[in-house]
Amino acid sequence: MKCNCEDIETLLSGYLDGELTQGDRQRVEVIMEDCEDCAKTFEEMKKLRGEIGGIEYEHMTEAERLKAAKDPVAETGASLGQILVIGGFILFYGSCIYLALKEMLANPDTPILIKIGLPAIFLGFGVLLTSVVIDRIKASKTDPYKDVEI
Amino acid sequence: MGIALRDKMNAGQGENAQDDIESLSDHGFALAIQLLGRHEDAADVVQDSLRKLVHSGQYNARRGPKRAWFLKVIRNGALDVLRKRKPEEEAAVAQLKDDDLSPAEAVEQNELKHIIRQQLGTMDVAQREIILLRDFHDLTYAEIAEVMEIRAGTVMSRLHRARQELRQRMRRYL
Repeated sequence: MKCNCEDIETLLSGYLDGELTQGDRQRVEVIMEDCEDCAKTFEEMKKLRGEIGGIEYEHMTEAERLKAAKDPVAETGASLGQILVIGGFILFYGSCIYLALKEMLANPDTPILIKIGLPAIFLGFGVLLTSVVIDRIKASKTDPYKDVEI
Repeated sequence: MGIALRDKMNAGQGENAQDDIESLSDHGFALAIQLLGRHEDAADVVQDSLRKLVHSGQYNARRGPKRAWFLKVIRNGALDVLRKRKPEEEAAVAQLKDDDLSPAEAVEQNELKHIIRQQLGTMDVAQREIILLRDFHDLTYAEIAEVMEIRAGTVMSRLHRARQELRQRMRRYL
């Protein structure tokens, strides 16, 4: 029986994977009995398939596994708690500092260096805090994976 | 902190052992590293995919087997990373592959699997993934069609072309 290998070649993959209809399966079996080229192609594909199934790829580390399994909702809740606590402290101490400074600056007996120095220190803390917050916001906006589509 | 995502899963959802978070993560990570070639990128894609799915409720809403569906999510995430990769990053990942054994060394050590892995790594992503989805992840043609978002009728011919390409590359080792 003459084999037109190109005609049935694609079916060899389907046969290997058990994805053919009964009719096509029988057709492939008959042809492979007579055509050495087709039988050889099939055997090579079968060997490759077996080897591929056993290839070792890296696994996630335990740390990555734990990180991946954390719940973002719980983390968001914790972040919100942190923001409230830190924000509350800032407001409370800010108010105290404001009241203390207001009284001190209004007092004509306070030395001029203290009138300049203390506000400068508090202003400096404010600038540092703001720059840290801006850095954090920038980092979260440039996160390369946040737009990954599902 | 560190509340496990599995606590978010509905009771009875994990009836299929292949669908629990750990198993899906393992398969997802394997596909991600097969497509991306770099460990950290693969781990990021798995983490991102898990969070999006479980947090959005899609994991629990999904009925039936979840593996192919999860691999589809991983695939899309990985392809997204590949699209955003800069040429110099791509070169660095290619360098990682080059650091492996040369084919001659691998043959000496009788590591056919190693050579196949190297050859797959240098093949076109579309051809590499269809071979791995079938032969490594053991998906059916229907599942491959779902993962790759192609018509089921084209899976066999695409897969065969990819296999022929690999067979040509591996000819002298078979």
